[in-house]
Amino acid sequence: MALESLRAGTPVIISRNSGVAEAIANLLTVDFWDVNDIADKMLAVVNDGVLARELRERTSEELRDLRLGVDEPARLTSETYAAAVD
Amino acid sequence: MDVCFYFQLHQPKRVRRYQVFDIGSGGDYFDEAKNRDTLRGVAERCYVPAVEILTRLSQGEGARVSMSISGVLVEQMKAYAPKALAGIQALVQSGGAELLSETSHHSLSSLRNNDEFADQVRLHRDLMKRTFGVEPKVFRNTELIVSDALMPVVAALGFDAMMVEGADTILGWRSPNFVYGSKSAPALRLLPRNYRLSDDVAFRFTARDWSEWPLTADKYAAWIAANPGDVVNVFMDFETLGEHQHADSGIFDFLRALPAALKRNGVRMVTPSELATRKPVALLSFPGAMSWADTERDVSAWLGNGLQHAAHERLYALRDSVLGTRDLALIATWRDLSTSDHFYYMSTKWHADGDVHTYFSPYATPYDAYISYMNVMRDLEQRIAKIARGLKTRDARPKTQDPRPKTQDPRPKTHKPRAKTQSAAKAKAKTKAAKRKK
Repeated sequence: MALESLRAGTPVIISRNSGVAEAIANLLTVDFWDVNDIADKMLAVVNDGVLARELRERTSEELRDLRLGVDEPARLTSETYAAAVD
Repeated sequence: MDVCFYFQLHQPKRVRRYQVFDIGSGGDYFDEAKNRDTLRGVAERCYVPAVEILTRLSQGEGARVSMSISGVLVEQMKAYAPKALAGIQALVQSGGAELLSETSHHSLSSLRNNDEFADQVRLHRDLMKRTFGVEPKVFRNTELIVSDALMPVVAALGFDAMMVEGADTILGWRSPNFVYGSKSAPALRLLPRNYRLSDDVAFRFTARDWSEWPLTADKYAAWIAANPGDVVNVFMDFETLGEHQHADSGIFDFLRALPAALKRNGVRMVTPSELATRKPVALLSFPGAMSWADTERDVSAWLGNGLQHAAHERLYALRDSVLGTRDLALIATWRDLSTSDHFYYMSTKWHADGDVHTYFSPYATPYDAYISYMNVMRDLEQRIAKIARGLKTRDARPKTQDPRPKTQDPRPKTHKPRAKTQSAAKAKAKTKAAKRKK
């Protein structure tokens, strides 16, 4: 869901514990239970065009370089196991 | 061969996580607990032990270094680390360290507003006089930011010399190991940093994958001695000593052994004001703004993305109105918000230099830094507007005797510039150049 939104050019606010937050840096991350923080960031991105534009542009750069799918994780897992066995 | 050591001491007043709900609460922008704890920690690990070592080296070995200390740090030291401040005062008064000038708030004002830049330089000069009893003659701008446009301003403020980055793009085939002059302000001497030898200590000292690790004082002194030229300028953050390079890395042992090793290798320790009296070997030009930061050596660490530009513009848009309030506390707060670190934390350089930015930042992301800062700006704007409305109402009242005490002029006292006139300096530089040709 988050990735689809990012691909559509929508700035995303996400829990800092979510998996996507590990892969994409240009996100607004929040503590899931901190409603004030969530509200603060929602208002910031809605009211501040510079912030929204920056998030869109930086995310789009990141997505260009991001390799999604199972191939890359599989390759990395295989390499890690191989290194551990050696 | 001579060597000139310069150390920068600075700690910002970090802005707390300031949310939209805090706007209108009126102030309290800074994370006092974090700033206090950070400063006390750095004082214990770095400022106190390193200054003690330098004091002993100055008394025993005649070692001399130079340093500049931001006004923001001096004020915080007075409150939270007086022992560290007393140590620096003793070191300066004993002649072990020459103090340099900079902007009081470690700001980027030189890139934005020359009046504010001059005001902050004067504020710093006054603070150095009051705190250490000295008036610096050599200038060092925030993060070594320098440009052709800035040099005449620095010269007009009365400085003899200025530290600059010895960037390859500026020096070309020339060596950083000489005293240069400025093309845009010929009376001003330029002291270029030897970034290779500086970074050997500042960044590579603990790098175990570096072919030269471990770096010993004798090895380093021999490298300096073997460098062609007149003087090697080694400039770095003072926090390198014990904070960025921890005590268990051997950095203090390195420091203790260095003056004797330099002597053995025939290297003399000199100060920037001694170098300022030397003849320049050539004139340098810095067409665009340069700094000592990141791999680019430009100002993109602070003004490299839209967030940083927007925040910086918003701050400076408030200058006239904040000075107009004549509220000294509010003006000081505004200047605390001009510290370059606030913009550094907003950097989105994730790759290459990103790690360095993250290391220094108190925020989870650059976006958190930006959102807090802009919320602070909104609160500050409201406070300024409120004071301005009060002043307007007061001025509109019929003139009666004002029972309140007169407010002080928020601007620092002006100093008569010591710089020579441009034409006299030009003529002198021409004569020197002609002599060199001969």
